[in-house]
Amino acid sequence: MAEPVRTDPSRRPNALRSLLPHVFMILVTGAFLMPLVWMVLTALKPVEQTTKTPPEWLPRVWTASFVKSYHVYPNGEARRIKGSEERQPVDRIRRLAVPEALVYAVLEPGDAENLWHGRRMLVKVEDVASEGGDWGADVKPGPGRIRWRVGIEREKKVFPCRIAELHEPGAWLVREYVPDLRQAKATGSGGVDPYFWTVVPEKNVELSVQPLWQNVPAALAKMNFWSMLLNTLWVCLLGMIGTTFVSALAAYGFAFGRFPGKGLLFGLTLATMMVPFPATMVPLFQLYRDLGWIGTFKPLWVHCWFGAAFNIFLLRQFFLGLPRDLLDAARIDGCSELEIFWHVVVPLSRPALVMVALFHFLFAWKDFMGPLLYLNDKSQFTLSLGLHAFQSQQGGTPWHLVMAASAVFSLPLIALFLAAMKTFIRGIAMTGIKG
Amino acid sequence: MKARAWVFVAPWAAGLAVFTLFPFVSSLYYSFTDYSVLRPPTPAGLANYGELAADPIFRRALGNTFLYAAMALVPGILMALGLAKLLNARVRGTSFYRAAIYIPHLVPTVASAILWMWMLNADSGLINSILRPLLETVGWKPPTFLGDERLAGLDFGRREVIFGALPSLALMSLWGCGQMAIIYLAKFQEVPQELYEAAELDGAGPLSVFLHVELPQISPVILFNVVMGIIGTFQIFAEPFILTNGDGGPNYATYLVPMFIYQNAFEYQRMGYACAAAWLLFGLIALLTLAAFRIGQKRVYYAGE
Repeated sequence: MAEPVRTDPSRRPNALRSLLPHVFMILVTGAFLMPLVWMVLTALKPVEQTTKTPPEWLPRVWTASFVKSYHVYPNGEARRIKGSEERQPVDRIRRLAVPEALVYAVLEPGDAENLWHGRRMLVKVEDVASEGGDWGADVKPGPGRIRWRVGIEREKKVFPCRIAELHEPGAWLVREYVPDLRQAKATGSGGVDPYFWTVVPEKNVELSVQPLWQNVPAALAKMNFWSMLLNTLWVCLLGMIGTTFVSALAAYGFAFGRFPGKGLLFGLTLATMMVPFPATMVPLFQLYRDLGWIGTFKPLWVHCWFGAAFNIFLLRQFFLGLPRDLLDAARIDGCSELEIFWHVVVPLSRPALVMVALFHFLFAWKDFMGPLLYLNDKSQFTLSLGLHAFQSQQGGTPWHLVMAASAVFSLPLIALFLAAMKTFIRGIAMTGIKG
Repeated sequence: MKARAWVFVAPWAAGLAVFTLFPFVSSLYYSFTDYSVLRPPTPAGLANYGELAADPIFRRALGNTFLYAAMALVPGILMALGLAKLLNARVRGTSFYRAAIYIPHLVPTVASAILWMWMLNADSGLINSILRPLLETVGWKPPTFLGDERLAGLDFGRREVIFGALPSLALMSLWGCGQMAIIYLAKFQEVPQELYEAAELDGAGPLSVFLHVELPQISPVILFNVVMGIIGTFQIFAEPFILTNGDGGPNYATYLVPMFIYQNAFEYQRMGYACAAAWLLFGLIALLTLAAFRIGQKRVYYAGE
């Protein structure tokens, strides 16, 4: 917009004037991006941090380095581990209330009621990031030292344990971070049912701002991401190739051909854009069922190989803008219509074709209702359907994992957009202007 | 030559017949029948339509659909216009701002619905985490969003801010208005420079430039967006389905016509009834689209056409 020329000699109001739109735009775009930022930040938090009020923006995790650290085994044995200086996220931190060097582990028969999952060490610890008492605890502070009772229960009998000896005062009990406890339990990894605990010196442990990247692979493994990605890509790409090619063919016919009923057919093509999907959904479903296609990917892509109204409309508009001389010249040279289409129109229309292909890819990637209607078996789910199933099965508790999966699911489209921004923006503008 | 052109259109013509026209017409036929999957359809005359007219759930769904369309479409179009106007200011970094506003539209429906479920979570959602402390200082309670069947407002008796499930759904759709904004922006950028210069010579202020120069120029696109918006909002299904775990709750507050059709067709196996509702939906969309074109044609300015 043209600014009226101002004769104000001082520079300051001008600087302010040019800064103001930026400030405003930053606020507005900030509001638009905030939900996405929140999604990513939630995805990288430990689960107990996700429900904190007031919310904490940055993911904060307990981390520890394993220098001068021990594994303490249920038999009471303590083994020094070769730890590096590097800090790693740890889970379920407990501070050992150890005033000095010695840790005793003594088993008494009466401790069995606190034993858990067959194998259990009983230790009294001072909760730091408490999340319930399933580590169990019992302590008897003795003069100048603490007596730890350690025991193992096997076949409902408690076996005595040896004394464990550690010599770092103020040690912390940690366990390496496992994003999803239930899964860890199922696969037996990660130490939900610990065969040992790791005891590290107090100074090794700190609460620090750190993203928990572990959440991402955990979420993906849990929702079976990679096989769903393959399903999604299959449906998206097959449909994309079909709809681009056949829509272009039809658009060429509508743009340059002359045949009886062309006007009527084109009018019908435009009018069907108004038909809501529910109005064709029931008979379409029956058609696919009669063909035996329910439970296959075919209902999601076969119809694309017959073109799509909106794409035909867009491509026709684009073709009409091509220089007619080129087409006529090719015709005089004796090219067939198909040759003109393939060797003249298609190369000249690459941006429009790419746009149609991209938009179909986007649509098919996002599509939820189609897969919901036609796919039954989990092994066939697309990502849309899989993410929905993942979220509804989890009942919404592990928000960090659900957000991680959502972010990974959204990322390819955002990356595609950033990589092909010009094509996108031109394409979106074209849909509006030609309408 | 003439025959060949027909060949180019043939696959599309076949597809149109098989995948659109045939199902479209047969669903009209089914709408006059009593039809569940297992038994063949038996003619039922207007019984389905009569039942729809008396069905309180359908009436609720229809009312909700209108309310939702109004709450999503009107603010959406105004917001997109405002954003486009801002982006058109040609400050540096426009392409960044433009990308930022468009990106939410790219987030797949399932992901954005789940994200908004999380944002709108009454206890630990981001929005209430910010609102609650603010409201508590004046002794008010924050809204419960997706758990509330009411619309929006203030309850002075119970000192409570009301923002219910249906407005929440509309709020979520506003997040994706970047697509429309970019369509407007493209049209804004096509406004001929001479018009601005002429307006400046006439001493027009920014507001009258917007009202008398820009608005007429972009009016065809506004009509386009209104029409596409009507077609889109009246058939919205995935968002309420995901946000409410498929039941349109609480107490049918987010139960829209497409969900009614889906449930009757695929959960209650009442195919004929579902088709009747679908045809009513189509009739509504067609009527509103025509009305938009009618009203639009009088007001829209088409340059050189």
